[in-house]
Amino acid sequence: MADHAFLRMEDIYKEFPGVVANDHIDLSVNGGEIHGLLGENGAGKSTLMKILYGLYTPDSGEIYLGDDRLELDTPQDAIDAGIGMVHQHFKLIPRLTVAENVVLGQREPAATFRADNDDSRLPESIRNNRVVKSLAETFSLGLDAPEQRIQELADQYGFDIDVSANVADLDVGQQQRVEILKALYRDVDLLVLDEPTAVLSPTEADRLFDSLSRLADEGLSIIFITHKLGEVTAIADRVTVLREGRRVDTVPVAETTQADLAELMVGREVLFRIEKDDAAHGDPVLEASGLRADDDRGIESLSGLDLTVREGEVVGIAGVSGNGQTELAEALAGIRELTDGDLRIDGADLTGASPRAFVDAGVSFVPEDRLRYGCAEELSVLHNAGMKAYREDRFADGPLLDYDELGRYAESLVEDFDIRGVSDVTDIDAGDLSGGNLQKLILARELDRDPDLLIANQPTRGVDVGAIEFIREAILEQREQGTGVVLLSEDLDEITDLSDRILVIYEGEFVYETTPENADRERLGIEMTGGRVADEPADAVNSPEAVAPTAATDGAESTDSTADVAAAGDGD
Amino acid sequence: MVGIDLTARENVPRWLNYATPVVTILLALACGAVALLALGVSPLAAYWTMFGDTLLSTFGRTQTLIKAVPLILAGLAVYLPLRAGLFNIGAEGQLVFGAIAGTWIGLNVELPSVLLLPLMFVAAGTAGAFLAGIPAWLRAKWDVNEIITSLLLTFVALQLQSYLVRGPMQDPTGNFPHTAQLSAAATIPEALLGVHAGLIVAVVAVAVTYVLVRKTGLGFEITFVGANDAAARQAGMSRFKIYLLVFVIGGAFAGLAGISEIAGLQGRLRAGFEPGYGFTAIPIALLGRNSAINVMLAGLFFALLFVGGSSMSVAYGVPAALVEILQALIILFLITAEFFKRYHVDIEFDRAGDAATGGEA
Amino acid sequence: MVTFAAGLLDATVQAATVLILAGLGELITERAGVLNLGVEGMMLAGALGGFIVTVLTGSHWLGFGVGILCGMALALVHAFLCITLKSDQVISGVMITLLGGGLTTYFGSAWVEESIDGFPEVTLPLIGEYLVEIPLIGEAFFRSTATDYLALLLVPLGWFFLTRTNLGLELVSIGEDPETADTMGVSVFRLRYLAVLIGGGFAGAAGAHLSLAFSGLWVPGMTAGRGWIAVALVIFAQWRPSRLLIGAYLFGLLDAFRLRSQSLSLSLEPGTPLASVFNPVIDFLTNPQIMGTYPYLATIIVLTYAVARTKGDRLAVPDALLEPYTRETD
Repeated sequence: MADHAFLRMEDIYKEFPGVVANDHIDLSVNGGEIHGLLGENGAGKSTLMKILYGLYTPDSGEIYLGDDRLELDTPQDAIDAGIGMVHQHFKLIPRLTVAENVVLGQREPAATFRADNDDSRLPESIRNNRVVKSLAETFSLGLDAPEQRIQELADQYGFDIDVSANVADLDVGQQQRVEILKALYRDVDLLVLDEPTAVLSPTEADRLFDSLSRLADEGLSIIFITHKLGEVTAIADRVTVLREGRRVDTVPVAETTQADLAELMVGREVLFRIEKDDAAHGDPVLEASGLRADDDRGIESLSGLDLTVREGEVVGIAGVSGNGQTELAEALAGIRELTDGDLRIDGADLTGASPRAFVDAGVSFVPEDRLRYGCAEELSVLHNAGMKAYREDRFADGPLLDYDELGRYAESLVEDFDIRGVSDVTDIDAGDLSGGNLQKLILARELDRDPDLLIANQPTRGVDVGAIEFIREAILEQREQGTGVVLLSEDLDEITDLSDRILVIYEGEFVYETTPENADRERLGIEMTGGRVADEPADAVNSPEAVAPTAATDGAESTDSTADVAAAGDGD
Repeated sequence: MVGIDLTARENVPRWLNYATPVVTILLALACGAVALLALGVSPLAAYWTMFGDTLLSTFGRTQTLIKAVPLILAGLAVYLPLRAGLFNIGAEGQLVFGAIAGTWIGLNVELPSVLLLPLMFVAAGTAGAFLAGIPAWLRAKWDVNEIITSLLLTFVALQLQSYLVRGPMQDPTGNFPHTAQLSAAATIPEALLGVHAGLIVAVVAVAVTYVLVRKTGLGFEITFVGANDAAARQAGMSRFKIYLLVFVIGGAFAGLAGISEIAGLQGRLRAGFEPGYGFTAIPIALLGRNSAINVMLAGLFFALLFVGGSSMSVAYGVPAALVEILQALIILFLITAEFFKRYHVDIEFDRAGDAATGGEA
Repeated sequence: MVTFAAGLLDATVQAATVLILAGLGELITERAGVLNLGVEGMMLAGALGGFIVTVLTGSHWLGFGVGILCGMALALVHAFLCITLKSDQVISGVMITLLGGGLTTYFGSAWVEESIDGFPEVTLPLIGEYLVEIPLIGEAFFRSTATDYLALLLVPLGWFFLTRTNLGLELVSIGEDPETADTMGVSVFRLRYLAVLIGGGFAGAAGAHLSLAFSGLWVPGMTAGRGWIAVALVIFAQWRPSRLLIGAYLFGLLDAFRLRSQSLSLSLEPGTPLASVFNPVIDFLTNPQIMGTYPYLATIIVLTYAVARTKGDRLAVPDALLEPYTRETD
């Protein structure tokens, strides 16, 4: 099928300890084509692209560009082969100018020494002398000619960029255009964009699509990674859908619908069926209204959310990563500052209170980024088990902390939650545990406090199958004891199995509410990805004032250090 | 083609933790041996004088303990912030501040010894804590790098000391850059074996630090903030409080080191009275970073190095600077060893093109 | 008064040269993301190495060159520890200062008795004779040692290097974001080595200037904290060569003034109103030792002001300072 394709990735296989990130994936992209790469977090999109860009070496598989077979060991190899990549976290140096960022590493000599400068006062023979040339490339820097060329490229594709401005002074949309210019300046034939709209507002995204179409018309091949259906149908020619490390299908966009794509992407099989009893819902434990908050880069990512959770109620919040879940969870746990809105726990106003006040009010938090917020890797299981409980009176021994008691407590958690690999709670560090066991430890610590409100963000991400079931059971058990639960997950099965009520979050707003009984997977899939539904007014989905949130916090990146999380969370 | 492959160790083997300092010290001594041979001195004999004779003689032991007092206290001043993930390289300045404040009280307040000495210690501790509090506050409040500020404040303290002993605090009976002699009431009495009672202060400080870090809720918080301040915050711990606390307590210890050196040994404050205890404290804290007890042992070892070094230099006419070099070498080897603790290094001799080289070449 | 001012300026220029050389080297090193707290030790190595060679050969320039090499030798140790072994830059730097102090005291003990004729003071060719005639500043600036002129020349050169050459651009980029620089084909490890060696060479030059031009003597510990002031100066200058030049003269002037402040009474006449209030304050503030704290205090204030004003965003400090670089591999 791929005989005429420009890029062919064949039978790519990549395994991280414990996880197969790419399971024999084929991908082919034609010349001048915009090719969508669609999949949920952890589907293997980013791993595949990192392989294409020389950041990872595949365990097996081959890559052809044009007629050449590529050996990509470093990004430089990829650049040399004509592959450019626009990362989600821009690779730009803010303190340097646009032109400096673009030419960095290209060794552009000063104008006088340029071989192609006919006005130079230096005779050509001197300019072409190897020693002179290398000295000029090292100890001079000519930005005039490059600036001119960058400006031409920018004009050609409708980018309004001041080439001599500092990158720090540009907005994100402009910075992204600089990234594209960097690739174009290096004469790439294939451009990969990793979730390029995650940082853009809808208008900026439209401008980007415009530019990409023009680039494709010029013959550039483009791979466009996304998990938003609307974007794929708006811009791509063909789309390849990945799920759980495998290629599900490659289809021409003209021959498919958003509903089909949602189904391909989210899948149908249900891993677990959990029976849950009807629980009586009591008084509200969480009342939040008009919540607004910024992400780490200062871009608004919660745009006025209202949320009430009652005792014994599980509210599932479905959405594709980067739509404000991280910020919502952190705001509810008291560790992200609100820019507006009110927050009440058990009727008490905790707006603007310290994290300590939230802990004391009975809020428990299972963070999405276990290694950043959930534990201290280099400390023992005892320390991590006691991370919040150490203040309790039962561990006080006069002025001292009763480590023996704390040890017994940690041991009891290890026992009750079946945490494996802990021979000695003082000797084994949290970082020694597998992802699933670490998550069980965190959950054990948070649930044992008998919280009034549990915030669980992606509680089963990167966790092995056995632990997933255990964790879900534990959450339901908590519900029966009257705890209000906010469950944020990208896993629709998890949401529908555990929740009493489902809210869909998209670009920092709740766009849809339903119950598990009435939930329609396809509809949820479309709502989560910002797709349009015929009977829904368009502005309910794509609110004009909504500013797009970013897809991942910086913290998510730090999880890459552990292989299983890196593979599972490779959507970053 | 030679490829060097680096991989971070996930777990540091236990034996490596203990073997590292030992091997390090041996390697540094081996380097020193080369220098000794060049000077025509037998390294074995010289090292025997340095370590053996010092440890076997009463005088040597006493001197070592006396030297260890400021080193241990200053070591704790670096160690405690290190536990919370901060770097206090200004123990030298805090030590000098403590010496100034304690000496001033000793010279200007008339009280019986039982009251005067504690007052001097309190003043010294407060002064050290004050100077250490500045970088801590700047870090906790605005994230101003505490390494730089604590270092710069050291030089401020040194200049201030130099000013005081030539000005307001100068001995009125002479023209030398030092203060008057402390009275008998302001002198720390001998505790045991000819060692002044500052040793007791140091041992108590070690015990207090040990208990604080290992046995209390505050210590739990210090450890947690040091290991992961984001998780600590989520758990409701206050980074601001912890940062201030470790620096203030550490600075107080450094201040105590200063006054015990003056009131216990030297009798008066003079310009340049301390031969860089505060800087030696950095490797002491590094060597002993696992616990306050280890800091004490490292302090004793460096004291032995100082004392033994000077006996060696007297006995063999070896320059005292050689001992200084030896110390620096031990520390440099030590930080080199840290690398091998953290990374596996595989050197592969393999065919070109097949090299799975790591980041380093 | 005029003689006093001229003498003051002359001393300022001499003091500033040491700070410019050491500070500029430190600035380049830090812009590449490596903090070098070993400047003081490297300066001592340069001072002794330069002095010994000059005594033996009689050639100031040969001595100066060897001084540079001595500084670089210690810098190589720092580079190896911090870049290859990824050790803590702070500890490595402090230890290199201690090591440099120990080594120079050890090897320099035999040379304490020696003395040399310092670098000759010269005027610039052609116009120098006239420039010297400029009142007040003429003698100070235009009858100087060659190394004074060299230091002055190196500031614009350093600026040009960092902002107008490809190598400089790459060097700055590895101090900001080594990972990005690496993906753009910049050799992070090689360039960081280069930057640390440049810094060591400059520190060695500063030390050699001290023993060859400034004093004509070797005394153990003769740098007397000037290396630390150079470290402070870089922060004071907020990592910019132009401000470094200003800062060096400012700190140099302070240094020159504090050694001379005794001979010049700034106190108010007795009987002037408030004299009894102001005079002790003036005496205190112009005390040589108290003035010795000004560079450090000023640096802390500048640093804190810069951090507080920007709330931690867009600081002048290189983003990747103190961070060892490890290439991400799978």
